[in-house]
Amino acid sequence: MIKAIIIDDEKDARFLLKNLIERHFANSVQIVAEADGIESGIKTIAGYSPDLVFLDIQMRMGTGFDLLKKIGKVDFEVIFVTAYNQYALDAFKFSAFGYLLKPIKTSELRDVICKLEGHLTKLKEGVEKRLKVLIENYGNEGEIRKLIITNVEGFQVEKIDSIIRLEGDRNYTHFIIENKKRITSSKNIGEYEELLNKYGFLRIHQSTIISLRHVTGYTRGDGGSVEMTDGASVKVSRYRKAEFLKRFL
Amino acid sequence: MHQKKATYSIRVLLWFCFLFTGMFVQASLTAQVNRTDSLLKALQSSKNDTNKVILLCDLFRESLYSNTKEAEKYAKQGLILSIQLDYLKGIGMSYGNIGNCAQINGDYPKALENYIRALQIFKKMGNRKGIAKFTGNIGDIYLMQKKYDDALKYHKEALQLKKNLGDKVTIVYNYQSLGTIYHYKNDKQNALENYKLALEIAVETGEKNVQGSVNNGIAAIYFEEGNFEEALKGYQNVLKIFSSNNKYKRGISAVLHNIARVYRAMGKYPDAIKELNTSLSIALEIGSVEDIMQAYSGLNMTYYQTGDIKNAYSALKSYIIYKDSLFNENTQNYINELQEKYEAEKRDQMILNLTVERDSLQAKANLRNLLLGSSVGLLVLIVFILVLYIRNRKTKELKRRIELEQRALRVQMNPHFIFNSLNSIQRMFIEGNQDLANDYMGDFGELLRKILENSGKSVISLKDELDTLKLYLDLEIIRTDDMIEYSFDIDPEIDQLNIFVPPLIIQPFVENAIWHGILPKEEKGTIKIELKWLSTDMLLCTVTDNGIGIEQSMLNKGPNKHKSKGMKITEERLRVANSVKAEELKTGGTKVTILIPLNK
Repeated sequence: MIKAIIIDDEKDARFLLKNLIERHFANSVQIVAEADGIESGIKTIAGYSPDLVFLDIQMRMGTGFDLLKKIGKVDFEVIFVTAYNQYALDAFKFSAFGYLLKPIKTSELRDVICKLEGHLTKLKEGVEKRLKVLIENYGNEGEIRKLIITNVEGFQVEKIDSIIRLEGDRNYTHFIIENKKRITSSKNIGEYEELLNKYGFLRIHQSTIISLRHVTGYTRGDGGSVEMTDGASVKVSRYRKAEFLKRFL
Repeated sequence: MHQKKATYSIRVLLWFCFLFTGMFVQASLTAQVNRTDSLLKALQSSKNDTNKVILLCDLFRESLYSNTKEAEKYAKQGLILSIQLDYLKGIGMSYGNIGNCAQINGDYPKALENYIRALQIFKKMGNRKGIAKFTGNIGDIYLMQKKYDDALKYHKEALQLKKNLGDKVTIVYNYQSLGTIYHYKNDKQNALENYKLALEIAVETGEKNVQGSVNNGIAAIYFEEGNFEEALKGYQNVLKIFSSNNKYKRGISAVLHNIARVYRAMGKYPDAIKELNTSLSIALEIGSVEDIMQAYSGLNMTYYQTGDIKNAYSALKSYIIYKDSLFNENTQNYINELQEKYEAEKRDQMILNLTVERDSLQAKANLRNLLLGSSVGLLVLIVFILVLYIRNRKTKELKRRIELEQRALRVQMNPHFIFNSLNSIQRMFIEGNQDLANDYMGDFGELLRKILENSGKSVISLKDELDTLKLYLDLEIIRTDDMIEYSFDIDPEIDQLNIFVPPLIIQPFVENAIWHGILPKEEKGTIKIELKWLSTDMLLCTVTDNGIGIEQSMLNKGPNKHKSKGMKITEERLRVANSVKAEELKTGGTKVTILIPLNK
């Protein structure tokens, strides 16, 4: 049973989320308390020591991030809730935090709860490290600097600039990073394509995403191939060649 | 009445202790009928003395699970007689029995009141066994009411009393309850400790309910800790215990559900689905609606995780059907109960109570209406802002003619979405279909978000375009009660994130296919959307439906050129002549082909 609290300054929003959880996920999550702001939220967290906090980002008295900065020790997992904040969404994704968009869909709530079930202890252990990355990424005026790569053992924090390329391998993705480092993530390459596309990465093949910063050369061919800073040469697919060349010409 | 709404979670953990004892008794029903008969005969011939009280207590025990109402009658008779005889032990036992009935009926305040009375009597008598028993019972009520600190206090006290008494048999229930309390308080170490003590005794005494329930609790702790191997072992243990007897079918169904949860967390989705299907078939066999619902909910979650949206959705629908049936049944039961109450005791007090209850129901209904009103109000506000926003931009940016044109064309399509969707949400609220309305509202919100995001842009990524299209299709599926099925076939070599198209370029043709192709046919139809490379700078998109076809559709609509106008607009937006072509298929239905040039 996941012990959770809801922090949101809107009464209706709290009511709706609680109602959804009680009707669909009473087996997995129990809402033990609610709070309507930053100060009351901090008090409620101290009083109930929850496993999980559903945290609204935009509240009248400040943001959910303010609460997390103020609270000192964070020993619970956070799911962020927001109505419209495109800017924060990337920051959550890069720091491996779950989030919900209002109005909340049952299917999305189900998705975030499924990802917690059975993994909560591990998530709670790493939450402060991930929060640091989140606040860093969010504070950079939309310029994401670090990525959290989740793997079987837990997660790794990597600078975006140091990632050379990603290789898809069925449901897994291998990260090839500077200094011959390799990490295997349990997500598939498609998820990373969407995440990294805006940040100087390009999918040049069904199973390859490259960092454009780490390209050292290109050899012509049907699709051709790209040389990377780690000395590897990777194939470009015929149809993705045009997009790739466009980025350099 | 309202106490009945103890959450399912609590009940799931506690049915091991309560429901199973019930099933046990039910299983030996035949033997019991004979016993009850002979007891009743003995009752008729007995004098009004303490023996009759004991007889009434026996009758109470025999009928507690099979006929709780009858049992309560015996308990009350016993109480009256004991008071007349000034038979203290009888008074205590009878209060306890009345409390038992209330507990089974879910009326926890009444149960608590009677247990406390029983406890006071036994304290007065100095009857240590009685004191220990009812201290524990009070603890159980607090547990059901989620008052964990009180529950802990009473069970600890009961435990100590039983230890002093040397009671090594019934103490097992206190260890079990303590385990559950600590579990709920998230104190896993103490929970495990108490569970293990309970298990030791239960194995010794051969108490299978407790063995199963405690193993289940232990496995749940392992699961929460992320120790999947141990959790699986634990649950399989429970399964073994329950498989020994046909009486435990409900337990088996629930344990299979728990096993599926572990598999799901491990990412072993096919295994999870297998277990859930077994769990479902058992639940269906015994007709336990709560377990059927749980199984469908689990299947929904698991299919969703595997990306099998179609099966996820069908599981969700089944879930909703059972949920509605349960809701209706509960409401009906509730109304019946109110009726009975009203007729049986027409005293003022009762009427007053009923008025109070109705007021609270009314208040709830008011709250719901308020919520409905405010959400619809919010939507209208969003729409209003959206319209203002688009208008504002329109007047400001008169410079670029083409962009303006694009936007004007797009605006023509938006009201369609918005007002149709508002209508549907209205209908779902009126039908009282909360879950569907909620999902629909979520999708609709997402669509509004996308339109807001894209409203300033003349082109968006193909990925955004397809996501919006899927959202639109999902909304139409819910709205038309599953009259449509759709599939996408997109060449994986198409870089959806880096190819840009004018927003809502495909959607009008999909909308046409639904409104003029499929819906007039009045049976389920399919839409297929294909995207492939035609050359390195041209995409080919086809929208195929199996509806009534163009000719029939034209006949229905009468002679106007509405359709070709839509095509013209799209061609203008794509800035390629003759880029849209519609043809009637020989097999029935329509195929629209759109050529999408990629501007370099």
